[in-house]
Amino acid sequence: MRHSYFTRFKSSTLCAAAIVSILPAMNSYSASSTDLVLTPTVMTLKQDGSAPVLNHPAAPMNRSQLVPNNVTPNAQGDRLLTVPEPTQPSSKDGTATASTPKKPHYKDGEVLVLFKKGVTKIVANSALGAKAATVVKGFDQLTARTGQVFALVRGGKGVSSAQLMKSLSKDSRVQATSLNYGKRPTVVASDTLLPNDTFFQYQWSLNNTGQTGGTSGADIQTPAAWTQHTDSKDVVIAVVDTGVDYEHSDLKNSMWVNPGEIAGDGVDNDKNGYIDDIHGIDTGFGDSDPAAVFAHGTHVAGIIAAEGNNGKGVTGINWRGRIMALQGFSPDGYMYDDAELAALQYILTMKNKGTNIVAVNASYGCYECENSVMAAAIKNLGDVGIAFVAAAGNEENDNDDYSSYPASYDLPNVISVAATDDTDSLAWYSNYGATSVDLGAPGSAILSTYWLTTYIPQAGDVFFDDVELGTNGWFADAPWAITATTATNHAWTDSPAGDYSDDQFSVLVSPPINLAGQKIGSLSVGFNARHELEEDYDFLDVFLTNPVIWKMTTEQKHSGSKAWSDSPNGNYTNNSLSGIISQGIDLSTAPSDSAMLNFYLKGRAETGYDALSVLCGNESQGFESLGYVDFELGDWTLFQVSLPDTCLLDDAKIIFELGTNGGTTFDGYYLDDISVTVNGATVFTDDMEGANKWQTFGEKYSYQGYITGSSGGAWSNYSFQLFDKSLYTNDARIMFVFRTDGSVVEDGVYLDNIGIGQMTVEHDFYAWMSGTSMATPHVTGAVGFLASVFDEPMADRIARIVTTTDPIAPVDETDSRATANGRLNLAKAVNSIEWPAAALALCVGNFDSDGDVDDADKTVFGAAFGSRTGQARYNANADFDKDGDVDGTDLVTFRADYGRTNCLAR
Amino acid sequence: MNINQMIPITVLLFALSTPAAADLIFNIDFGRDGSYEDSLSLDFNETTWADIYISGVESPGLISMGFKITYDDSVLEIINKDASGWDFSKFSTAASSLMVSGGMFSDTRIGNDILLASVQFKGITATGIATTALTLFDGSGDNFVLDNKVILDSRISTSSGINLAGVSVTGAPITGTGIPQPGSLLLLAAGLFGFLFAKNRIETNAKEQ
Repeated sequence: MRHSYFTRFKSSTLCAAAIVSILPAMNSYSASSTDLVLTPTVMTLKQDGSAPVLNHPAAPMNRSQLVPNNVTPNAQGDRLLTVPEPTQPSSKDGTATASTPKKPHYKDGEVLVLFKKGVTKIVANSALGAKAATVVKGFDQLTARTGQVFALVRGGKGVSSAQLMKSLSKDSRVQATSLNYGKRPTVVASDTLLPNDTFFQYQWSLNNTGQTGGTSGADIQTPAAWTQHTDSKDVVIAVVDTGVDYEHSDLKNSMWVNPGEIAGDGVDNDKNGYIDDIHGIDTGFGDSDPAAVFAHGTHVAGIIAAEGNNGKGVTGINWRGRIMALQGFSPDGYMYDDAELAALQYILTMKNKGTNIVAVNASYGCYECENSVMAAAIKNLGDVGIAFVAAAGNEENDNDDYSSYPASYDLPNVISVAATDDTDSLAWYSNYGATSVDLGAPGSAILSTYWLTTYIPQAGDVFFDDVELGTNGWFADAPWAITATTATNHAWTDSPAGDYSDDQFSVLVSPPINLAGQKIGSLSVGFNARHELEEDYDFLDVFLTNPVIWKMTTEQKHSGSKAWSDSPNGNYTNNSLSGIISQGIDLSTAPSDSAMLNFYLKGRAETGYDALSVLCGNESQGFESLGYVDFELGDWTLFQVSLPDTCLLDDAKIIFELGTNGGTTFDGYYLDDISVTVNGATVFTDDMEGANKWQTFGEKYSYQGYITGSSGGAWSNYSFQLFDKSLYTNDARIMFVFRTDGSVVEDGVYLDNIGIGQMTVEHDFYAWMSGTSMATPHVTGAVGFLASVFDEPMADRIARIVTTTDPIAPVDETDSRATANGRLNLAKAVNSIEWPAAALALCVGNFDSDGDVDDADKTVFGAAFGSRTGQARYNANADFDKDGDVDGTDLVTFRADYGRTNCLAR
Repeated sequence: MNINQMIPITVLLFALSTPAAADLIFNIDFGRDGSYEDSLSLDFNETTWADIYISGVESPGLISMGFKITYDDSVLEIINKDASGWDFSKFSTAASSLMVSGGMFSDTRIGNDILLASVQFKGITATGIATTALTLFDGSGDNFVLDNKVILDSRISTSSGINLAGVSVTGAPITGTGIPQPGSLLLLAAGLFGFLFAKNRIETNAKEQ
């Protein structure tokens, strides 16, 4: 039976533990009368402290917290979800946390490169080839639009991004190189979901009446602006984010629809490189469906253009608009630069195909991740009149000192936005900058449309366990146990005896679950949890696992015909820990420094990230690391390792295990002719040709999220969607990993009703979220609003927005935070328009004489369009040039007036 | 080089530097396979979508279109039509022709492979094989108009139209029970004889083995 095997290290350090035989590291050969006998190089294992991660399953540096779905029916049968308001974080000892920029996240080994104008693709490929760089992704449409070659490239195996950038930068044809940074949504927290009703009264950012306890009038003054204009269907705003729930009842009428594409015909009708891209594309997952993968983008889109005045939900700044959705995030929660670049390429392509895109909303960012390739692409958008509105960031930093990108690009079309609160002060979390941040806009506790998937496990699902049938196939690492929570209910607990322990690490693994054949992305994992954990210090991490099995293979061998392979017939698996463990060997009588492990190895791993580790010990005494190999071995190489005293047991076992991260994969290592000697006498040997003396273990660990803090004594339902197609196997398992730090213990976690089944997408939910992510779409919406009201150059529109602001109030006399301008005031911006005299003349398209040219007039014109005199539907009022046809030239005239609200009476 | 040689070269360079209006190109994609075709074979009662595209539209982009497509209505029947990619669209049908017009009220359409309209045809030739041409003509009025009021209709031949594709329709096979004629009875008899002969050969061979 396969089981999960977690290597537990003894408390001694790696360096002190292992004694490695120091042998000459050189190739030699001796000649005989018949042939040459190659004496393999005798190598040592690496012993430095920077060994790749070995204590799988490891949670990533940037964990994602699972949000509970506390489904609590109220008296009306509505569902109310509540989460505390975001609060300023403090350190464990109660002192305020310092504002420190985070280390930028990027894909090592990859580089974005931009060639100078005039360098052809052929020349560029040649230049890359000369540097042994391989193109991972091209951006041909961007190249076609700009005349410059953009590419995402990788170097040769083992070449870091920094090395590759240095090499490429020496080529005079290269204009810029950059790391492939990953950006995060600039959101602080999300909370309450509310019943589906009219929520304008809660939208303080549009109309602050003091309803939240803030300052009346501290808003962007939309009611006054709406007297001038409401419907912005003539402009398109691109939302580069986590996708948009385009079926949300408050968004479906405000989505951009690609006029050149026939939905569902499986054909790239408009030849833009994407099949059936109806509302945008998904560059994170690589398809044409920008459906939401997280809620963030849906929330942002609603601030810009949730359908207004429709009697339900919220209203956007634009009562109607057109949202082009571009999902750019990967399952790991990052949007990498190559995905962002592909999104910007799409926007530029569609702009050049005639789509009236006026702004891009960029509610994401990363620190100190300046990328000149991305800057060039964003500038290209500005060159065709597209404003790029970006979040300043939520790290409380002064962006004048610590740049946050893309907001900090000093480009004429980039608007950097800070967040304000309901008192017109800068939000506590917001970045700022007297020169680098253009203006502020409301960002705290903003109510908008929300994407929500729910999954409540129940009997009949693909997998379901209500923990009433005992262990039922689960592997429970002590002290996990089943306990009675009521007289009739049982649940798993990490600490059946009371509170959990300091420095506890224990796993709970489900039996195998068959997910093969299920539609990718259709399933969710769900469970109920009641938990008391030290907030942000003790965690329950949740993984999905799949088996990774070493096998004896004939692909390679040192002697005989077989050798162990960590990945038979292919490359090894990312995010995995797998290996073999020997049968017990009696070394109890071996003197110190007398026992030696010998083995032959060949192959390679991703140096610095993946490694083959060697350990000895046993389950009861723990295992000692002897070192690791992460470098390329082109030929069979003998390793000889002295076994430390801690391995001299009567039941000593040897472990070879491969630990991998999420980067590049290689063929891995082959292992043959393993032996253990004591004073030169062989006490264990295996040439892999006879009976198997090893047990295999191994899993791929796909991290899904964590739980921390308290559920307030109540059961919470947690669920998450399974996006990773590699999880859809016939042998998947749910794994809970309980980890605690060295202080403060609580009651721990209780788990019940664990299942995998079909999720339900809710299309009528709303939620409050906070962050510069929410401030940014206020400005983006304003750009769209103004573009729909008045046709002027982008630069003038941006200037109008940033120079018509209201002051931002300091929190107190010590608050020296500043932005270049104040808080957005949409009404002031609209009223600052000095209409040309011609614009104040009679609107010829105002058929119904109601003072504007709106959808009612569009209906009148549309009814007559394509007619000529003598036909019943001919309308002489719509035949503006009086040539007997209502045709294209009349449409030009009508378009010029469409959207006007300041028409003189006819 | 003397002056007499220079003049023609100068004229040529001038001609090359004068921006020439690119031709408007019309194409049909039958069956939504992502490829343009200039011919199609249909069976009786078989249907197909014909997506009609235009290419070669310069900036600032097309805001309207209008055209007539002609066909032999004894060969094909239009059973569906769609121009939902345009904010305004109208269809009007007459004998052997379909008039289409459409307009964009906000965006424009620039470049190549711009979908004008989709028409679903059905082959209605009952017997034999019949062919028809699908020919595109400019409609009445100013149809292909750019956002800057430039009218492109003059780039479409209005006299003979543009031959988009040829469609052949093969009539259905005879499905009724016919009365055998003397000649065919003879053929049938010969066929039976041949069959019996062959069967006999097979049986004989089997016995010999």
